[in-house]
Amino acid sequence: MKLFYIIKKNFKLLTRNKGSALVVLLGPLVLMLLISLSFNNSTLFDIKIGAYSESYSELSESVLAQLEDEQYKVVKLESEQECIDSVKSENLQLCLSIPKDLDVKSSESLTFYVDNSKINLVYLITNTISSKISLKSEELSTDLTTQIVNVLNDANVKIAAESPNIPSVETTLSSTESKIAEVNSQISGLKPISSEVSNVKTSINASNLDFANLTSLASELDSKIAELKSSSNDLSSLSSQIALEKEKINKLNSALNSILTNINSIEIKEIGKIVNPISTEITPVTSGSTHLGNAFPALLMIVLMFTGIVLSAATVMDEKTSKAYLRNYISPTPSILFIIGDYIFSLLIMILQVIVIFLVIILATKAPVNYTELLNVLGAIILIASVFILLGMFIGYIFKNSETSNMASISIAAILLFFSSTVLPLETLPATIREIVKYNPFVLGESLLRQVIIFKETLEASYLIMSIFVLYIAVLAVLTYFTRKLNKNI
Amino acid sequence: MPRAPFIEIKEVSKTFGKNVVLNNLNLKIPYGEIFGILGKSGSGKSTLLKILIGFIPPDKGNIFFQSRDINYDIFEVRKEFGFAAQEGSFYPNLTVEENLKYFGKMYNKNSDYIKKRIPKLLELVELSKKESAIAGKLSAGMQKRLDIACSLIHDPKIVILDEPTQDLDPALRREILDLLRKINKEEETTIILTTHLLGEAEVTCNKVAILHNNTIVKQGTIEELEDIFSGTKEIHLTTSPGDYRMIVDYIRKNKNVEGVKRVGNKLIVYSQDAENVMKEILTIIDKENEELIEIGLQKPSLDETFEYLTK
Repeated sequence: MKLFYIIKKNFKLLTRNKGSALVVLLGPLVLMLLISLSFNNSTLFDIKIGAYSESYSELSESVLAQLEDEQYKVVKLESEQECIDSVKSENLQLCLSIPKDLDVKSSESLTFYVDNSKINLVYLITNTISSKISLKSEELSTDLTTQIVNVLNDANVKIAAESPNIPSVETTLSSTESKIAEVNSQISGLKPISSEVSNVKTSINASNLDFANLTSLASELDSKIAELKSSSNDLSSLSSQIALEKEKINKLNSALNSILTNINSIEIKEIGKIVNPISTEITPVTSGSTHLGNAFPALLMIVLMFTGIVLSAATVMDEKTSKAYLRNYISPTPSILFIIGDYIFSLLIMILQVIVIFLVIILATKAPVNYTELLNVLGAIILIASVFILLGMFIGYIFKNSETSNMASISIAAILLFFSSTVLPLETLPATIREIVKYNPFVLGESLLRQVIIFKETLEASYLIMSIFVLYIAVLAVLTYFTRKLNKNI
Repeated sequence: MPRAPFIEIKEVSKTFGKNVVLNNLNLKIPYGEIFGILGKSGSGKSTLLKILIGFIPPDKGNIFFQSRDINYDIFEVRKEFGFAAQEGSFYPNLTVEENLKYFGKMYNKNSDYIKKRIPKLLELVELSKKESAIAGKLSAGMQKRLDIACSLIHDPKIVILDEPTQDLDPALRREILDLLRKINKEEETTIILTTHLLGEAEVTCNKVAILHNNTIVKQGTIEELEDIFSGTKEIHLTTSPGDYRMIVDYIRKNKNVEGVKRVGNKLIVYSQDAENVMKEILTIIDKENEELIEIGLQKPSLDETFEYLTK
């Protein structure tokens, strides 16, 4: 019963100042709305890219054209240094240095200059730009591959068309070779006829005069036969040459056949498949398609953490510095009741805030309401909020005045935020720190909310995280109790 | 009802770091009195009250309430105690009625009791028409009265007030002191208050204790304290042009003179043989051609007793 009056008193104190009450109840909603309006998309806007090249080739221009669209504006600059300086001065988000007269034969590469201090933007831009450049590179690769494939196809067709002629050439050559051999053997069989003419002249005792012409003719014939015999050597040489050529033609034939076989053995002849044999498609496992949808658990966590820590620390500090603290303290009311009262008050405020946020989202998006899912979300929120409320109360009881308490609350919340995946991926942290950061209540809470909000898991599925939260709650409750007992800020 | 001791503080000591605030302090407070604890600023009056209400524990010693050690039964004892701090102890953003209801609940009182008690209390502290007013918007005197009402909501047997008239103008002081007397009479509540304004204690308290050098140097009724100077009288002397050098020279030689001080144009001489000392002073005045403007005999006030005890 006393608990009810403590909570009622806290609500009265809060609502007595209408402005404060509105800020506490609607502040987180305004924050969420502003973030929703700002980040409810999945693209980047107004990114300026600087480009520099000593001489822009057709390829350079086409790369720049590829980059330029509604998201990106490309600005050509006079020097590479000017381009880099513009990135440093934040006039440009990225500088692209293109080699002089860039063409596909060029061995030089494109250079991006980025400002690494703008951590989250750099990764986003370089990823997008790289993918755009990859697209252009793929186009070029496709062109080159098309040319090669066309040549191969042409060769294939021509070889296929002409190679049947090779055996006939070979046959012709063989026949020529045999004919040459035949002629050669016939030539070899030719004998000089002068002695025969002389024998004939002797046997018939013809006068020299009668045979003079015949002898002369025979001599002439002999000389021709001698000439023929000498040509027979040439024919032999020709024959062996033909044999050599036949061998070459054979080899050529087998080479062409092998080429044909190889060409025909290529299974994939589609250019797209050759250029990009493994096609990838990224399918999100989450249902949200916008930054807001994906970031909603993190945003909710930010609201829960900051509100939980700051509100409860402020409630405790208000109570401690209140004139009434002494009277409460000396009243026959146990400390634990004041702690529980302040805890329930902060929890109710946070639940109200979350209800307002969810109501607005449901009304705005007209999303169907699944009450089981909502109960899971509410359970997760109560668990997460409890940790941050008790942490805030502990801070409130430790510090002597509201300035140090506020500073401590905001600093601790900021530390928890920075050592989470919200600013930088946890994977960028050294292994030892990452091991510790895994137990950061912000990280655990974000994970729990992601499970129940995005993946629609039940709370039982995240029993490990829930157990850690219960442990945190127990430890913080004990610490808060003893800190209040020891703290008498009067 | 028990007559004495209602509260007994026995050999209580308290140190903050190296600063000894209370040292082996003993005090008995009887039932039904308005008991004043007098002390200079920083003498440890507030610390003594905070120990008395159980807000801070003593390093040594015990406090008994109706023979019960408060440390062994603190929640039960707290039900019998009311406390009003120097700066008030209520929620400025709640109304008068809300404050009283809330503290009534914190003191385990049921709604019916609180409902009946609030009008009675508001009448007692003369805030009947202010029950719906926001506490922080009340005048300083009304806030003090609300604070006293909050300390009385649970009908305590004893109310402890730390410098109840601090920062109030003389008219408001009188109002609050009258109220305390009224509470003591109508509610039969024992009242313990601290003050460094001796005039207040003189007109309000039945008994006082003087806290000095970390302990109670004297306690008793106002008369008992004033009797410390029972044989001593003050000679109040004013002359023109006011050259008191010869008188002071004489006083220093006279063994019957206990002290002398000049307050503005007036010379005050303390002596157990005041009549004879006065005659001799008159002789010196004649010799020195000083014109006598005023001379008289008085008993020392509590102020002077306090000054004497705490010098």
